[in-house]
Amino acid sequence: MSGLTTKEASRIEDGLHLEETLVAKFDAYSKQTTDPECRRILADVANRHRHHCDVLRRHVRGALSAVGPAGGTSQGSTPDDGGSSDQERTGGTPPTLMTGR
Amino acid sequence: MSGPDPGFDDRNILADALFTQKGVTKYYDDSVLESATPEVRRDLTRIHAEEREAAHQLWKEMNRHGWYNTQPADASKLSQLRNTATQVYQGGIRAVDRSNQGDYSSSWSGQHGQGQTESKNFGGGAGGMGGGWQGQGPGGLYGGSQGYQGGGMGAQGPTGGPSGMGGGYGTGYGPGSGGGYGAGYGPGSGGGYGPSTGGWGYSGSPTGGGFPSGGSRGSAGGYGSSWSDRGQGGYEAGQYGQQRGGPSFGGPTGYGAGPVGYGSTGGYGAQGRESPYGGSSYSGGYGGGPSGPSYSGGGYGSPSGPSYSGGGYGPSGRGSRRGRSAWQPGGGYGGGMGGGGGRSWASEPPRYYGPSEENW
Repeated sequence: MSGLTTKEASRIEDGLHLEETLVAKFDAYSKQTTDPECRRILADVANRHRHHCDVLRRHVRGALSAVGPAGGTSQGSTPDDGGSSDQERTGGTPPTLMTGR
Repeated sequence: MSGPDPGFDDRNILADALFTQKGVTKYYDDSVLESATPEVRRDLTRIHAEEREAAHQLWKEMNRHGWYNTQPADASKLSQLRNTATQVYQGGIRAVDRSNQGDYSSSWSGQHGQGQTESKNFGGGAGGMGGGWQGQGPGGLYGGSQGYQGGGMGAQGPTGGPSGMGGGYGTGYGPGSGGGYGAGYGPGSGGGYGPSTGGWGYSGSPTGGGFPSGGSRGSAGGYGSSWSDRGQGGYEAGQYGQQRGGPSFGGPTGYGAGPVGYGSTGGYGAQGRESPYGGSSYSGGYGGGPSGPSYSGGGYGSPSGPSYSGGGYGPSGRGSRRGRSAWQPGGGYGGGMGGGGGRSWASEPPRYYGPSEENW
């Protein structure tokens, strides 16, 4: 994994914040809605956003490892260290897309 | 909030979710465009696709409930669309649209109109039609000109016409310029964006065959042609566009630059060639002209050449071949004439295409 450009870093950082918010939003919506199909779709979208978070974090990790140990120490400040694994965060639901990696 | 808002029902939820997804999709669209690292680009592209798909799912659900309905286009709208499509493929509309774009727009306010509909046909190709466009504007970049009277454009003729002329498209872009905006959309056009002073010489001329490449081939005038003499630092804009499928700028620099249009390949400015008319300075696309006051180039086709560009020329400009003369503000003269062989096609402004690993 190569390093990131400054724009990419900014985009990924903003994307992480965005996705985090979206997960919360769609989770809340899926619980609030009354229609089963709506609920399913909203939950699915929430899971997609979780997975996007993971994808973006992966790039952060890759970039930090590319810059060496110093960067590795700063990895602790990334949102990846939230204490839960990808699988836990997705509630056991694998992402429906993004499987081509 | 202590609990679900009863007023915020499923419909509102889905509507907000869809709205959100649209925004997120745009965010990733921009992100993809900003990304350079292959792995990042790849993943952002995938995320973008998923966001789009999610939005579509939400829309479908709303549509299923009757909360987001679509309306089929009515007959009049379709008719309008058909006309637009027809005109676009016959050349011209793109050029009109350019009047509202970017750098060029400051001094323009173009409008559709009948414009000049004179059609001529030089050397081949069936006479087409003048596209008809008139623009009016306060002046060019330099604020000196009176605006435009673009000639007709949108030459239309049989593909492959050996020559012909592009329509003129606007003139009077700069002080003293007659330069037209490009003139010469058709094959064999000279053209040039701009006056002889500035000589932007952006002209697009498709190949003689009327290939709608958007690129200009042999179009005279170049981006920056004829600003001044080479010795005066006039910048050379590079080759005249010979590329297809892309924007081309062209035009040789330099003084004189009196091109003689070549019908089938589009007029092109003679590079570094001094005008035979005694020191007048011509910007791109000008293929000769009367002696004395110089005409700016924009796409004035040489009368001696087999092809013509449209484009106006500015009668008031006084050019020095050394590029030192002050230019009088002058109204542009729209010389655009439609017709000519081959389809005309307006060139595109320069674009930068970022790196792409994928074929779209």
